[in-house]
Amino acid sequence: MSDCFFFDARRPKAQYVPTAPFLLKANLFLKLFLIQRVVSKKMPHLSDDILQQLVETIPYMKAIGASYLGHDAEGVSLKLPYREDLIGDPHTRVIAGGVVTALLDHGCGLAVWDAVGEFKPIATMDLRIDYMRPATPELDLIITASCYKLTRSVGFVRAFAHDGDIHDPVAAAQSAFIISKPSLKSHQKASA
Amino acid sequence: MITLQPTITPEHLFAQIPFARFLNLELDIAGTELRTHMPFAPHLIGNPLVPALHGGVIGAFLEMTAMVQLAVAENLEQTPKPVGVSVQYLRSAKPVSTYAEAHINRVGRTIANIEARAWQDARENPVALLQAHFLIG
Repeated sequence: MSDCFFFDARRPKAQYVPTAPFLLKANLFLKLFLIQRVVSKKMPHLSDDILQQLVETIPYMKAIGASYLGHDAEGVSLKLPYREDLIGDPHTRVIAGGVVTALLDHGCGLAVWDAVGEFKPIATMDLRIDYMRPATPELDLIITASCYKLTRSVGFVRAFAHDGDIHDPVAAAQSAFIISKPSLKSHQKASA
Repeated sequence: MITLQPTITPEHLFAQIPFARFLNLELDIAGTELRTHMPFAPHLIGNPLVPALHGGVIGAFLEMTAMVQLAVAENLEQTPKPVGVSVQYLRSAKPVSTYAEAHINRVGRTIANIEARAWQDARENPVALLQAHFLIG
Protein backbone atom coordinates (compact mmCIF):
# COMPACT_ATOMS: atom_id res chain seq x y z
CA MET A 1 0.00 0.00 0.00
CA SER A 2 2.85 2.39 0.78
CA ASP A 3 3.87 2.62 -2.87
CA CYS A 4 0.36 3.56 -3.90
CA PHE A 5 0.49 7.21 -4.81
CA PHE A 6 -3.17 7.82 -4.21
CA PHE A 7 -3.13 6.34 -0.73
CA ASP A 8 0.03 8.18 0.32
CA ALA A 9 -1.27 11.51 -0.87
CA ARG A 10 -4.41 11.30 1.19
CA ARG A 11 -2.97 10.02 4.42
CA PRO A 12 0.68 10.98 4.47
CA LYS A 13 1.16 11.20 8.22
CA ALA A 14 -0.06 7.76 9.13
CA GLN A 15 3.16 6.15 7.92
CA TYR A 16 5.35 8.10 10.31
CA VAL A 17 3.80 6.72 13.46
CA PRO A 18 5.09 3.16 13.58
CA THR A 19 4.33 2.66 17.27
CA ALA A 20 0.58 3.28 17.00
CA PRO A 21 -0.46 0.01 15.25
CA PHE A 22 1.76 -1.94 17.59
CA LEU A 23 0.10 -0.41 20.65
CA LEU A 24 -3.33 -0.99 19.15
CA LYS A 25 -2.49 -4.62 18.58
CA ALA A 26 -1.17 -5.03 22.11
CA ASN A 27 -4.32 -3.43 23.44
CA LEU A 28 -6.44 -5.82 21.40
CA PHE A 29 -4.53 -8.82 22.74
CA LEU A 30 -4.95 -7.55 26.29
CA LYS A 31 -8.67 -7.11 25.76
CA LEU A 32 -9.04 -10.57 24.26
CA PHE A 33 -7.11 -12.03 27.17
CA LEU A 34 -9.37 -10.27 29.68
CA ILE A 35 -12.54 -11.32 27.83
CA GLN A 36 -11.35 -14.88 27.73
CA ARG A 37 -10.67 -14.78 31.46
CA VAL A 38 -14.12 -13.37 32.18
CA VAL A 39 -15.77 -15.97 29.94
CA SER A 40 -13.85 -18.85 31.44
CA LYS A 41 -14.62 -17.52 34.89
CA LYS A 42 -18.31 -17.29 34.00
CA MET A 43 -18.62 -20.86 32.72
CA PRO A 44 -16.07 -23.05 34.47
CA HIS A 45 -16.24 -26.80 34.27
CA LEU A 46 -15.90 -29.58 36.76
CA SER A 47 -13.54 -32.42 36.01
CA ASP A 48 -14.94 -35.68 34.66
CA ASP A 49 -13.89 -37.46 37.87
CA ILE A 50 -16.01 -35.19 40.05
CA LEU A 51 -19.00 -35.37 37.69
CA GLN A 52 -18.69 -39.15 37.64
CA GLN A 53 -18.69 -39.17 41.44
CA LEU A 54 -21.75 -36.94 41.48
CA VAL A 55 -23.59 -39.67 39.59
CA GLU A 56 -22.18 -42.83 41.03
CA THR A 57 -22.29 -41.91 44.71
CA ILE A 58 -25.98 -40.97 44.60
CA PRO A 59 -27.99 -43.93 45.93
CA TYR A 60 -30.92 -43.51 43.56
CA MET A 61 -28.69 -43.26 40.49
CA LYS A 62 -26.86 -46.37 41.67
CA ALA A 63 -30.20 -48.16 42.15
CA ILE A 64 -31.39 -47.54 38.60
CA GLY A 65 -27.92 -48.21 37.18
CA ALA A 66 -27.13 -44.83 35.66
CA SER A 67 -23.57 -43.85 34.80
CA TYR A 68 -21.72 -40.73 33.71
CA LEU A 69 -21.00 -40.77 29.99
CA GLY A 70 -18.99 -37.66 29.29
CA HIS A 71 -18.86 -34.01 28.57
CA ASP A 72 -18.83 -32.31 25.15
CA ALA A 73 -20.07 -29.19 23.35
CA GLU A 74 -23.69 -30.36 23.67
CA GLY A 75 -23.40 -30.63 27.44
CA VAL A 76 -23.07 -33.25 30.14
CA SER A 77 -24.27 -36.77 29.31
CA LEU A 78 -25.61 -39.65 31.38
CA LYS A 79 -26.34 -43.19 30.31
CA LEU A 80 -28.94 -45.66 31.54
CA PRO A 81 -28.78 -49.25 30.27
CA TYR A 82 -32.17 -50.90 29.62
CA ARG A 83 -33.45 -52.95 32.54
CA GLU A 84 -36.51 -55.17 32.98
CA ASP A 85 -37.44 -53.82 36.42
CA LEU A 86 -37.69 -50.23 35.14
CA ILE A 87 -40.46 -51.01 32.64
CA GLY A 88 -43.50 -48.76 32.91
CA ASP A 89 -45.79 -50.44 30.39
CA PRO A 90 -45.68 -54.26 30.48
CA HIS A 91 -47.35 -54.54 27.05
CA THR A 92 -44.93 -52.40 25.07
CA ARG A 93 -41.93 -53.01 27.42
CA VAL A 94 -41.14 -49.29 27.32
CA ILE A 95 -39.20 -47.84 30.23
CA ALA A 96 -41.34 -45.88 32.75
CA GLY A 97 -41.76 -42.15 32.27
CA GLY A 98 -40.69 -41.76 35.88
CA VAL A 99 -37.24 -43.17 35.14
CA VAL A 100 -36.76 -40.67 32.34
CA THR A 101 -37.95 -37.93 34.72
CA ALA A 102 -35.40 -38.93 37.36
CA LEU A 103 -32.56 -39.10 34.85
CA LEU A 104 -33.46 -35.76 33.28
CA ASP A 105 -33.60 -34.22 36.74
CA HIS A 106 -30.19 -35.57 37.64
CA GLY A 107 -28.70 -34.65 34.26
CA CYS A 108 -29.93 -31.09 34.70
CA GLY A 109 -28.41 -30.99 38.17
CA LEU A 110 -25.06 -32.14 36.81
CA ALA A 111 -25.14 -29.42 34.15
CA VAL A 112 -25.70 -26.83 36.90
CA TRP A 113 -22.79 -28.17 38.98
CA ASP A 114 -20.63 -28.13 35.88
CA ALA A 115 -21.55 -24.50 35.17
CA VAL A 116 -21.08 -23.42 38.80
CA GLY A 117 -17.66 -25.05 38.71
CA GLU A 118 -17.72 -26.30 42.27
CA PHE A 119 -19.87 -28.51 44.43
CA LYS A 120 -22.61 -26.41 45.99
CA PRO A 121 -25.92 -27.70 47.35
CA ILE A 122 -28.54 -27.32 44.63
CA ALA A 123 -32.21 -28.22 44.49
CA THR A 124 -34.71 -28.60 41.66
CA MET A 125 -37.23 -25.79 41.73
CA ASP A 126 -39.14 -26.54 38.56
CA LEU A 127 -38.95 -29.33 36.03
CA ARG A 128 -41.00 -29.45 32.85
CA ILE A 129 -40.82 -32.46 30.56
CA ASP A 130 -42.31 -33.12 27.14
CA TYR A 131 -42.42 -36.73 26.03
CA MET A 132 -42.12 -36.94 22.24
CA ARG A 133 -42.03 -40.68 21.69
CA PRO A 134 -41.61 -43.88 23.70
CA ALA A 135 -38.01 -44.91 24.39
CA THR A 136 -37.03 -47.92 22.29
CA PRO A 137 -36.94 -51.08 24.44
CA GLU A 138 -33.52 -52.78 24.81
CA LEU A 139 -31.63 -49.57 23.92
CA ASP A 140 -29.55 -47.48 26.31
CA LEU A 141 -31.15 -44.18 27.25
CA ILE A 142 -28.88 -41.15 27.02
CA ILE A 143 -29.47 -37.80 28.71
CA THR A 144 -27.68 -34.69 27.47
CA ALA A 145 -28.09 -31.53 29.52
CA SER A 146 -26.63 -28.06 29.31
CA CYS A 147 -26.94 -25.10 31.63
CA TYR A 148 -27.47 -22.15 29.30
CA LYS A 149 -27.82 -19.45 31.93
CA LEU A 150 -26.48 -19.13 35.42
CA THR A 151 -27.29 -16.36 37.85
CA ARG A 152 -26.07 -16.07 41.43
CA SER A 153 -28.89 -18.19 42.80
CA VAL A 154 -30.62 -19.88 39.86
CA GLY A 155 -29.42 -22.14 37.05
CA PHE A 156 -31.52 -22.66 33.91
CA VAL A 157 -31.07 -25.94 32.08
CA ARG A 158 -32.23 -27.54 28.85
CA ALA A 159 -31.95 -31.31 28.50
CA PHE A 160 -32.79 -34.05 26.05
CA ALA A 161 -33.34 -37.77 26.49
CA HIS A 162 -32.50 -39.85 23.42
CA ASP A 163 -31.32 -43.27 22.23
CA GLY A 164 -28.08 -42.00 20.72
CA ASP A 165 -29.25 -39.37 18.22
CA ILE A 166 -29.94 -36.10 20.03
CA HIS A 167 -31.96 -34.88 17.02
CA ASP A 168 -34.50 -37.66 17.54
CA PRO A 169 -35.32 -37.10 21.22
CA VAL A 170 -37.46 -39.29 23.46
CA ALA A 171 -38.12 -36.38 25.79
CA ALA A 172 -37.09 -32.77 26.32
CA ALA A 173 -36.81 -31.02 29.65
CA GLN A 174 -36.60 -27.44 30.79
CA SER A 175 -35.70 -26.86 34.40
CA ALA A 176 -34.65 -24.31 36.97
CA PHE A 177 -32.39 -25.10 39.90
CA ILE A 178 -31.87 -23.08 43.03
CA ILE A 179 -28.23 -22.81 44.06
CA SER A 180 -28.02 -22.45 47.79
CA LYS A 181 -25.57 -20.18 49.45
CA PRO A 182 -24.35 -21.27 52.84
CA SER A 183 -26.81 -19.48 55.11
CA LEU A 184 -25.82 -17.57 58.23
CA LYS A 185 -27.62 -20.17 60.34
CA SER A 186 -25.67 -23.13 58.98
CA HIS A 187 -22.48 -21.08 59.23
CA GLN A 188 -23.11 -20.48 62.91
CA LYS A 189 -23.93 -24.13 63.40
CA ALA A 190 -20.72 -25.19 61.70
CA SER A 191 -18.57 -22.83 63.77
CA ALA A 192 -20.28 -23.74 67.05
CA MET B 1 -66.33 -37.84 40.79
CA ILE B 2 -64.08 -40.84 40.73
CA THR B 3 -65.69 -44.23 40.62
CA LEU B 4 -63.70 -47.37 41.10
CA GLN B 5 -64.43 -49.98 38.50
CA PRO B 6 -64.32 -53.55 39.70
CA THR B 7 -62.73 -54.84 36.47
CA ILE B 8 -59.30 -53.27 37.10
CA THR B 9 -58.19 -53.18 40.67
CA PRO B 10 -55.46 -50.66 41.43
CA GLU B 11 -53.41 -53.31 43.19
CA HIS B 12 -53.50 -55.35 40.04
CA LEU B 13 -52.36 -52.36 38.01
CA PHE B 14 -49.43 -51.64 40.30
CA ALA B 15 -48.38 -55.27 40.35
CA GLN B 16 -48.24 -55.21 36.55
CA ILE B 17 -45.92 -52.20 36.33
CA PRO B 18 -42.34 -53.22 37.14
CA PHE B 19 -41.30 -49.64 37.93
CA ALA B 20 -44.11 -49.29 40.50
CA ARG B 21 -42.69 -52.37 42.21
CA PHE B 22 -39.21 -50.84 42.02
CA LEU B 23 -40.48 -47.78 43.92
CA ASN B 24 -42.40 -50.13 46.23
CA LEU B 25 -45.61 -48.16 45.78
CA GLU B 26 -48.67 -48.94 47.87
CA LEU B 27 -52.28 -47.86 47.54
CA ASP B 28 -54.75 -46.71 50.15
CA ILE B 29 -58.34 -46.52 49.08
CA ALA B 30 -60.62 -44.35 51.19
CA GLY B 31 -64.08 -44.42 49.67
CA THR B 32 -63.77 -42.92 46.22
CA GLU B 33 -60.38 -41.39 46.93
CA LEU B 34 -57.21 -43.00 45.83
CA ARG B 35 -54.06 -42.28 47.74
CA THR B 36 -50.63 -43.65 46.97
CA HIS B 37 -47.92 -44.23 49.48
CA MET B 38 -44.20 -44.54 48.86
CA PRO B 39 -42.42 -45.97 51.90
CA PHE B 40 -38.88 -44.77 52.47
CA ALA B 41 -36.09 -46.94 51.11
CA PRO B 42 -32.35 -46.13 51.21
CA HIS B 43 -31.98 -46.39 47.43
CA LEU B 44 -34.36 -43.45 46.90
CA ILE B 45 -31.89 -40.95 48.35
CA GLY B 46 -30.72 -38.24 45.98
CA ASN B 47 -28.72 -36.09 48.35
CA PRO B 48 -26.93 -38.07 51.05
CA LEU B 49 -25.74 -34.91 52.84
CA VAL B 50 -29.14 -33.44 53.78
CA PRO B 51 -30.39 -36.30 53.42
CA ALA B 52 -33.25 -35.90 50.93
CA LEU B 53 -35.13 -38.05 48.46
CA HIS B 54 -34.14 -37.67 44.81
CA GLY B 55 -36.21 -35.08 42.93
CA GLY B 56 -36.67 -37.60 40.17
CA VAL B 57 -38.18 -40.08 42.62
CA ILE B 58 -40.78 -37.53 43.68
CA GLY B 59 -41.49 -36.69 40.03
CA ALA B 60 -41.82 -40.37 39.13
CA PHE B 61 -44.05 -41.01 42.15
CA LEU B 62 -46.39 -38.14 41.24
CA GLU B 63 -46.47 -39.25 37.62
CA MET B 64 -47.31 -42.79 38.65
CA THR B 65 -50.06 -41.57 41.00
CA ALA B 66 -51.65 -39.46 38.27
CA MET B 67 -51.39 -42.37 35.84
CA VAL B 68 -53.07 -44.87 38.16
CA GLN B 69 -55.78 -42.44 39.18
CA LEU B 70 -56.60 -41.85 35.54
CA ALA B 71 -56.50 -45.53 34.62
CA VAL B 72 -58.79 -46.40 37.51
CA ALA B 73 -61.23 -43.52 37.10
CA GLU B 74 -61.58 -43.99 33.36
CA ASN B 75 -61.32 -47.77 33.44
CA LEU B 76 -58.59 -47.76 30.82
CA GLU B 77 -57.22 -50.97 29.43
CA GLN B 78 -53.82 -49.55 28.56
CA THR B 79 -51.68 -47.44 30.87
CA PRO B 80 -52.03 -43.76 29.93
CA LYS B 81 -48.91 -42.25 28.37
CA PRO B 82 -47.53 -38.95 29.65
CA VAL B 83 -47.21 -36.19 27.03
CA GLY B 84 -46.21 -33.21 29.11
CA VAL B 85 -45.32 -33.17 32.77
CA SER B 86 -44.43 -30.21 34.94
CA VAL B 87 -43.25 -30.61 38.51
CA GLN B 88 -42.81 -27.82 41.03
CA TYR B 89 -40.62 -28.68 43.99
CA LEU B 90 -41.63 -26.78 47.09
CA ARG B 91 -39.65 -28.46 49.87
CA SER B 92 -36.87 -30.97 50.14
CA ALA B 93 -38.31 -34.43 50.72
CA LYS B 94 -37.18 -35.99 53.97
CA PRO B 95 -36.27 -39.68 54.13
CA VAL B 96 -39.71 -40.72 55.39
CA SER B 97 -42.93 -42.01 53.85
CA THR B 98 -44.40 -39.86 51.08
CA TYR B 99 -48.08 -39.73 50.13
CA ALA B 100 -49.75 -38.48 46.99
CA GLU B 101 -53.17 -37.76 45.57
CA ALA B 102 -54.21 -36.87 42.05
CA HIS B 103 -57.12 -34.81 40.84
CA ILE B 104 -58.48 -35.11 37.31
CA ASN B 105 -59.26 -31.72 35.81
CA ARG B 106 -60.57 -32.81 32.47
CA VAL B 107 -60.72 -35.94 30.34
CA GLY B 108 -61.08 -35.40 26.62
CA ARG B 109 -61.12 -37.88 23.79
CA THR B 110 -57.35 -38.14 23.49
CA ILE B 111 -55.85 -36.04 26.28
CA ALA B 112 -56.50 -35.87 30.01
CA ASN B 113 -55.34 -33.09 32.28
CA ILE B 114 -54.39 -34.06 35.81
CA GLU B 115 -52.77 -32.46 38.80
CA ALA B 116 -51.23 -34.21 41.76
CA ARG B 117 -49.64 -33.31 45.06
CA ALA B 118 -47.17 -35.15 47.23
CA TRP B 119 -46.72 -34.55 50.93
CA GLN B 120 -45.01 -36.07 53.94
CA ASP B 121 -46.07 -34.71 57.34
CA ALA B 122 -49.26 -32.83 56.47
CA ARG B 123 -51.38 -32.54 53.37
CA GLU B 124 -51.29 -28.74 53.67
CA ASN B 125 -47.51 -28.76 53.30
CA PRO B 126 -46.91 -30.30 49.89
CA VAL B 127 -43.41 -31.42 48.98
CA ALA B 128 -44.10 -31.15 45.26
CA LEU B 129 -46.92 -30.43 42.83
CA LEU B 130 -47.48 -31.91 39.41
CA GLN B 131 -49.42 -30.78 36.36
CA ALA B 132 -49.64 -33.30 33.58
CA HIS B 133 -51.22 -34.15 30.26
CA PHE B 134 -51.75 -37.82 29.48
CA LEU B 135 -52.53 -39.47 26.20
CA ILE B 136 -55.40 -41.92 26.55
CA GLY B 137 -56.74 -44.52 24.19
